[in-house]
Amino acid sequence: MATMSPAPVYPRPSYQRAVKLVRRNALAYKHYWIAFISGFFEPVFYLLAVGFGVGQYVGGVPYAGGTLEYASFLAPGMLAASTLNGAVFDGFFSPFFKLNWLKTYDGIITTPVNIPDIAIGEMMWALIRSTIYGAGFLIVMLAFGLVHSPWALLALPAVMVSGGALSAGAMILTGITKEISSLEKVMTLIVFPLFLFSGTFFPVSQYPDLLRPIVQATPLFHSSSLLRALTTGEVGTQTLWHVVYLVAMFVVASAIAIRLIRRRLVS
Amino acid sequence: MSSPPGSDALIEARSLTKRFDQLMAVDSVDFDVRRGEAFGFLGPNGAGKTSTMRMIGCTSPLTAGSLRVIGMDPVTQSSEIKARIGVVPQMDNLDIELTVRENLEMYARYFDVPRDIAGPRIDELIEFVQLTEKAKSKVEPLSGGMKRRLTIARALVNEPELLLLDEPTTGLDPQARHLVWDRLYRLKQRGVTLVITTHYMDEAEQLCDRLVVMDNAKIVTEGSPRDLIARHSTREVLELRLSDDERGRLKEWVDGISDRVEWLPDRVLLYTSSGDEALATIHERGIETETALVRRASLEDVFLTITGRSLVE
Repeated sequence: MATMSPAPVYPRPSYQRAVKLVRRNALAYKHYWIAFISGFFEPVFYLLAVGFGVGQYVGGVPYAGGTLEYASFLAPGMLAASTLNGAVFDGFFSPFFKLNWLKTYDGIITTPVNIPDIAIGEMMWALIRSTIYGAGFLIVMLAFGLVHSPWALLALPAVMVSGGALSAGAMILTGITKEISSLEKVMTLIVFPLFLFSGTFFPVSQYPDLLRPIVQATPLFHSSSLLRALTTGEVGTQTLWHVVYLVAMFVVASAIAIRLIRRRLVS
Repeated sequence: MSSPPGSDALIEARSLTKRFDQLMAVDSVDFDVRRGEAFGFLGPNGAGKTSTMRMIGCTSPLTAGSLRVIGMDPVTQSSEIKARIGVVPQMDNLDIELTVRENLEMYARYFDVPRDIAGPRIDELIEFVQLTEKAKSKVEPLSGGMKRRLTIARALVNEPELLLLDEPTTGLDPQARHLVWDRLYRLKQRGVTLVITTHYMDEAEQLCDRLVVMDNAKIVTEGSPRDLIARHSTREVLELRLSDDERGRLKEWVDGISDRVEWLPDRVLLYTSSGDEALATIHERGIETETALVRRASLEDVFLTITGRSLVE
């Protein structure tokens, strides 16, 4: 007589095992360091072209009851975008290929490293890449005189919070996409609109009342608003809510991502 | 072939079942694998071999039944089991972003092999699978045979007591196959237990001490290659190719000269204790054969006898 097995018992994730994925990626990127660095420059180019180039004709934008020079407004938006880049590259692109094409994870799960360890390890790595991009961008901002407050000391931890939330979000996309065409859909319909419209390039006060709450619900809005508050020194209770949103997103999205990735790897 | 309790069975499966939605992949199979033997799952594609292997390797949960691997339960002790086995999957899933050596270094880390032990062991493994000159190469430019050998080396990095090989030589040219067989034979000599799936009868005969034949999610027979041939086939087989007319003539009286006849689309197989005598009789009766071959019976014949179908279609 066949006995029904009990519900599957999932091994608990282990950070020691998850870190092995971080090491694996660090080893792999030794061969692809140009690719690693290149993603950093995109928001820097935007800062130069739009912030300083177009910014000359824009003058100031309304911010916190006053006016803020455009480049100083845009820079924290691009800082948030640099964390988005890191998160998308290594929370989505790279895991997407490892999961669907390279079958890298199918090999790793035959070792004592389990599926949640892989998902957590990849998110840790994406967070690290996000943070490296953010830290680099902060140095660029300092060099161009776009940091206006000692609150900016908190910008690096804020970058990490932003990178964590966005990496976990990106990992959800990894868990739900299979086709190569999904890459394009995700880029044009999710990443690019987020990048352009989340209070990154212009204040959300520009939006009609009906549209504004939608924009204010996006993670990059909270990330760019948080970072702008810190680099300009316009910190208030509102600032704390951005942190709460991003931390909550990290917790919820990473739990969902682990489940989705498990569903894809268990058969 | 079930062994008594307390025996040295390394794998013990009872009513092991795997179902995917409507598809029954493995239907209540029982088998034991003993420590130190080479055990085979022989059967056509889709017979349930890979699903069985993946359950043993703890990467696929069982639907029903029970399974013990190295005395442990795959449901609750998957990490502990995985630490002590090596897996060579059907499709190579080497890490193509790393070099040959880095692949082994990373897997040594996944298995928590201490660094000072991993270094010399990796050198030895690279030599064992004859990839010394390719150690610094990326994976992609390697030939199919080299990739397979690297996958085997990767599966050995934790010095497993049990090695699971899913179709280890499918897609390889004859030379590459023989090299793989040679390495597997040496591992067996060292006491590693091998579990091999294959749809090649020659591979099963070469490598396996004992095997089960799977068909349609079930185990249809079990034994050593020699036992199975003795039990399910005659000693010799006469293979004939003939025109349709001659086929018709042969049909009328052939039962008298052989134990069993298989009428395949392209060939006729006569199972007999002496192929030469049968052939002589056929020629005496004036039947013209296009080709005639007397050969020893093989596992292919066992499969054909039991299921009525060829192994490789």
